[in-house]
Amino acid sequence: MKLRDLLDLMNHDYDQDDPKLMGEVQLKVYNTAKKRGKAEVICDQLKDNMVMDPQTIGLPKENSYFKGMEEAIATIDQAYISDHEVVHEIPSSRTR
Amino acid sequence: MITVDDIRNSLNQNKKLTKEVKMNIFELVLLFNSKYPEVSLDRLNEKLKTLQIIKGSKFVNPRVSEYNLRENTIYLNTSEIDKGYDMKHILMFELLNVITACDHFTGFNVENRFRALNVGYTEIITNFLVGNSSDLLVYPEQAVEANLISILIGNEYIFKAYFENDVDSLIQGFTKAGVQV
Repeated sequence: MKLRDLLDLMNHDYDQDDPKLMGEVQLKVYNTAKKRGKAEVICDQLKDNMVMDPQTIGLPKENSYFKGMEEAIATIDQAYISDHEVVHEIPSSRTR
Repeated sequence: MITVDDIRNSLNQNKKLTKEVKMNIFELVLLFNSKYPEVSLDRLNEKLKTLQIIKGSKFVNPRVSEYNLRENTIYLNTSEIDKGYDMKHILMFELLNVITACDHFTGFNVENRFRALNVGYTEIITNFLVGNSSDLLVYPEQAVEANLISILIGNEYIFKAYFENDVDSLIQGFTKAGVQV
């Protein structure tokens, strides 16, 4: 991932208020971590994150700020799970 | 080293802010200093002597607030504010811009290239300091993105970059994380 590409996505979202791009930013961050073999570390750190702790963040637990964070973390977690799913091969039937 | 008494004196010197606004700012600075005692208040102290806060309804920028560092002025967009934003949150957000302002940019936003990330990180710290009592969120996507990136590159790099205007620290963090710079 190139820094310029990441910044362009984020800045475009900010300038145009286009939240669709946030998903692309999330995946770029995840793929970068994956290439360095740090996908699992990133997922764990995202889940156990000061920003997600209502007691330290100063927001009530039901504040929708957490919803956005949780969705982002779930998206990345799902990408990680998909990458690490064990695929069971179904034996092909013999033909005569 | 600047103390909170110096901050109080600087606010008292400012003839452009009301007593109530000065009290609000002082309260927020105390809170900030209690959570981040390692961050210097030198620049804030100077800027508080001449800081202005201007409210208006017709801005080219449709955002709820903005800090203009050249004018040392916080602009509040009343058209947006009337929708119900938490003003303590908004004031803290802009005070962070004042705290992190150098001659040409705030935080690590060199040449406006890092504007979204800078805004997102500011929002994360604002929420940490004062929360948000409104249903209206402030830059939520940018906060999510800044959080992801700080996890990816390490908060120590982005923290240093933000409070010391050291964009090289940010670049170093990205490089170490495997992002092509």
